[in-house]
Amino acid sequence: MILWKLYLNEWRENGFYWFLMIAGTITVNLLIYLGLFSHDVFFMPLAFSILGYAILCGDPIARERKNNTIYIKKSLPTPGYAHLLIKALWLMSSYVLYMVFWYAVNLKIIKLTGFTLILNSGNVLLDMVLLLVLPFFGIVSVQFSCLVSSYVPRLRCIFNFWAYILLAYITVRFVPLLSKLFEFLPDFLLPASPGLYFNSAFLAAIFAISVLLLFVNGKLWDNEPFI
Amino acid sequence: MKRKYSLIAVMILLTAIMIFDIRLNKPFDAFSASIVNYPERKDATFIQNIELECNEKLFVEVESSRLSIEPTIKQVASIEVAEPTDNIIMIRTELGLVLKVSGGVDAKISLPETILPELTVRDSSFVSLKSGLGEVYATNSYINLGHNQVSKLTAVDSFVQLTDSKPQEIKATNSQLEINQAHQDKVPITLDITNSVVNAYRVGVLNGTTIDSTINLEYTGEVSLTAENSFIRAKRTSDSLNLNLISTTAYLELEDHLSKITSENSEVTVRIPRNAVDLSIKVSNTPITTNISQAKGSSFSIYRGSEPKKQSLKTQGGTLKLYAPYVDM
Repeated sequence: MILWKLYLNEWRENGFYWFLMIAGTITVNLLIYLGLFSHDVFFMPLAFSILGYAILCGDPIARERKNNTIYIKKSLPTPGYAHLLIKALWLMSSYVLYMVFWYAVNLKIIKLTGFTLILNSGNVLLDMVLLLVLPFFGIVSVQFSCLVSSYVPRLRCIFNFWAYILLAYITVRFVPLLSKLFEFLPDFLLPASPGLYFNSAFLAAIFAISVLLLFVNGKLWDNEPFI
Repeated sequence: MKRKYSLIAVMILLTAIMIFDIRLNKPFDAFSASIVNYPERKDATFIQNIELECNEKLFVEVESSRLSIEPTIKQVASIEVAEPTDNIIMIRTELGLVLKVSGGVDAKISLPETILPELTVRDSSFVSLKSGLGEVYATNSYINLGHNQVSKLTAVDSFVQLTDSKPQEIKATNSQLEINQAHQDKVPITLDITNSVVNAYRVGVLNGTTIDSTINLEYTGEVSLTAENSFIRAKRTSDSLNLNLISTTAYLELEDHLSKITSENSEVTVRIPRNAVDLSIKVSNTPITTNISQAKGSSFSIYRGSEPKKQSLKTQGGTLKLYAPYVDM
């Protein structure tokens, strides 16, 4: 129950930005409808929303500290990783809702132009797994670098970027090793590229690293100094 | 304070390791290699020569099997399988040598460049790379031709992928064709498509007819197609677009090149070029939806830019949606 309340709290705290994106999408579509914008720009709100969500991965954590709401969160009987997991789940679920909205308002143009999303591997199951695992990894990575930077009092932006680069390197190094553990999993057939199979062990390794990072982030959140 | 300096020390150490590791090793190669899997092929233990007499023709029949053809610098053709099998049969007929591969065999044929086999593929997977082929007949199969010379391709209930391959004629029914050429060659491809999907990308010259099909054209050169009861989409075409549409839904992005479009009882959406346009339009019993102010009456033309190429659009029945990316026309 407390997790559900935390989820609703995420909507309260960050819902404004979500509505801002919805309003932006409506405005762009209205301008297209009135003929003031070309049909070609229909995907721009989606492109901006990805940028917006990249910021929202780390910004709410920084705002918790700035607005002193982190004290309330820390006083709750929930571990740090649960708070961060709720933040990740809010980001993913709200983005799905936004995507549905964007798709619905642009359905006509999408049908006309044959626009397809970035993932077009020909394997629906693989697309779905990629859409679940990769954003989750992206969110926990940004959370990690954001939390690491909170351990220094100044130049946090630089430390944030630095930690992100190091995490990317560690991921690149660990994924091939971890993949060996999951080689028993069946691979995904890629109909668009005959003879090639997408390695499910790779995805499992990314997911394992994401889960590990979530717990590391939880520890970083619990022991955060300078508050 | 202690934590802060420990963190900075760890980060500096990791950065140093990262720089040296990236310089000395290649961690990104191992990472990218872990994304995809190439299924390992068992080492072939059985190679059988295909003894062809002078000017004798080779016919290959594949049924419920996997076959690949690769070129060889040797003068003798051969077939390679993992273990000896009775499912590979060679029969000499009046027409030529018939090689039959059936019963779930995974085989590879090595062919000298001078031999152009005629293939019949049923319920099978066939891959050919950098080879010359005669006619190919595919039924309920997966065909992948990369850098091939093919004279004619006939596909029924099949998925066909053509990469840098130049079949002169393609006939497809209930199939999907993915045609992709890295460079636009002027070798024409003639289509005869029924109830199929064709995605053509960077094709030099494309002509023919389509019935009850979906056609996507992108970065194509000279296109001359007759489409009936179809869905056709053309964008970023680079040379000329000559379309005859009958009861077809079309989405066409005209570019600055010669275009001639005639439509009959079709739903046509046309986006006119951004910068240069000399488009003459004649409509008959066709309601127009447009954001262009001078689009009035049954015959009008739109002109803008310097020396644009001639384009014409004639419609009879159906609907026409005509729009410009900018509305200052």
